[in-house]
Amino acid sequence: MKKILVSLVLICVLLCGSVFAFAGADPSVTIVSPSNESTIYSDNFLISVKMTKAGTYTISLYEEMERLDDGTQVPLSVETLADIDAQSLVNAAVGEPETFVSINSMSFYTKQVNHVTPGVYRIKVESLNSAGQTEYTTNSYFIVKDKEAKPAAVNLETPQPGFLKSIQSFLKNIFN
Amino acid sequence: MLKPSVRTKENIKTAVIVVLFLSAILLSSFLWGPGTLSNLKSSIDDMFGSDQEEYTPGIAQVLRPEQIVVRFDADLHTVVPFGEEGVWADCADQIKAFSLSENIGVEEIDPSQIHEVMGYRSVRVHFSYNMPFKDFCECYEISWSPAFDQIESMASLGYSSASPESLFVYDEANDRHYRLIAEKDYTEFEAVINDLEAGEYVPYYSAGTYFGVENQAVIPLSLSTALTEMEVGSEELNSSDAQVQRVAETFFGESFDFVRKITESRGAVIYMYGYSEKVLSIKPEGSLEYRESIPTENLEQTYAEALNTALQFVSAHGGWPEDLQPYLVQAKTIEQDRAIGYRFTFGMEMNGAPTYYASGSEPIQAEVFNGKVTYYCRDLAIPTERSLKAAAEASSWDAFPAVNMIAQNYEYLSDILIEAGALEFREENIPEDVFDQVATQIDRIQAGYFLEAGTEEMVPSWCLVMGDVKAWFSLYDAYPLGYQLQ
Repeated sequence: MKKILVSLVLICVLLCGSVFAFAGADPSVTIVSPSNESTIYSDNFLISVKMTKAGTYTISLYEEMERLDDGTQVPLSVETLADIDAQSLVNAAVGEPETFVSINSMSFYTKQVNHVTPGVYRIKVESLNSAGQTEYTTNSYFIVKDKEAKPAAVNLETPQPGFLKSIQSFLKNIFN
Repeated sequence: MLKPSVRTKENIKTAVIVVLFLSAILLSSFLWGPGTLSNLKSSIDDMFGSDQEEYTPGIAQVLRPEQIVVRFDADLHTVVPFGEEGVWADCADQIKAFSLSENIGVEEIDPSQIHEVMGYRSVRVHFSYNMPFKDFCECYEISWSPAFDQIESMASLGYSSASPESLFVYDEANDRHYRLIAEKDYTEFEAVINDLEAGEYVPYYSAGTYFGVENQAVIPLSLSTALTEMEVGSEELNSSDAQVQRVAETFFGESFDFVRKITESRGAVIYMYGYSEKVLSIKPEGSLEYRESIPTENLEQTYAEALNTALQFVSAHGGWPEDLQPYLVQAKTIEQDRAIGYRFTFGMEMNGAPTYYASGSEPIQAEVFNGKVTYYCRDLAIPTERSLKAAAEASSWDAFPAVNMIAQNYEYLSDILIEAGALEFREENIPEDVFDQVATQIDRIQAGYFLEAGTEEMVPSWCLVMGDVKAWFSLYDAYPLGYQLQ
């Protein structure tokens, strides 16, 4: 009985350990833009990543695609990230990963990305240790939509007609 | 046959005709030979004095916006290069076209509405000074509407595709935002935006997008520029006694009646008229300062008239430098001896970029009271021929990214802001919080030239403006060069 209990405890520890062994987000990395779960109404955007520790980082951009039953991959068309079925996701790299070396306690990686199509995207920032191995992985997911899909422009209140204002000013000038 | 006396007379006449004929040929070749006409003219000028009209820049020429920010989509912006005058001319034409519409309405709006409406495709024109709105309209031939009476002055103008029938005016002096509304869109600002977007431009994003703070100030993503170090020298107004005399004559006339001349031991030369009603001081470093008593006759001038007075005064007393383009940096209403006047401060553009001075004083300053210039200060840094030639042949280099220039120097900037009273020192603040507080205070960033005190070289620099603070950093290395608290 004791042996069974010990074995069960060991198995649980191994299982939990294997979950925690997966690289978590780097506390010294903040993906400022596009922020997690944001929506961009344009075919271009700025990537801005803040690093508050000197080190070497690799930044990659992926488009999250949906794999259909016939094996083809199609861009995702969702309103929110909660609508995504994680199990059917595959990611397609957009451009090549870039390495950024920060020598200061505060620095930013910035890059303009152009000509993107509507879909769901992910920025991945890997923090490397001195041996070049990934120590942390920080992700940000966001949605890209056509600019025509942007909500309607602000509607400023319509004031009284201009000629009434003109009469007011005219009367003011006479009596001042 | 002629008598001997008659023959002699005829021979003399012939000789005179021949001499006159040869003289005519020689004089013609003298007058029409290369360079001789201009040499003759300059000789006449030297003898009798030149009465040529000096060059005076027009008001519209010096009233240049400090920054024109154009927003495209998804927070992508550009800023029109400082020396590019064509876009401002286009914008002024659009404002003129807007003003021709009938029954323009004016309403005061909330800053939050401006913030929201400028989040779409838009154009914002910023001036570094307030100007009476009436004078601004007069300068740019914008039709005046009685509805504009409530707008006292303006420091910036804006257009947004979210409200194309409107123009937006910001009166910084009174901290008020106005919306001018026409019956429909009379402008072609959309075409101005589209043209800029279709061409080559430097991309800018807001500080909020880069840093994750609340700040709409725009910062370039990258910048490629040919700005290089420029050797400069003073005007050397005191290079010789004759030169000093010539300068003084423009203020006191040639006779110097009732004018005393004092030469100080340090080298300054002072001319004093009467009991110091007029005082001219030419300093050893080659600059000058002039003061005159405020006239008692009350001659009220508008802002534009006073500015014109200042421009003409500078033209007549030293003139405007050839290789530099003047622009108005600051204009303030001032009061002295119960009289109201204006102080105009002029900066100089060099190679299409603004110039900044560690001394804190701009090259030319003039105060105008009752139609007369009562104070005039002139201290120009003139680029040498050699450096101008080198600048024309310089290649382009990538500037140090502005975003990381700020990140690299945020502790230095926070110290400056604490000194200026714009930031409170708290020992418990973590570095990220300090950085965010600095990033929130950024108003503007611009590339230009910076002249360190005591040097004769203008260096390419980033100029960062945060409220009343200006700080400069090397354009290519991001090292601090200096700062100024206004």
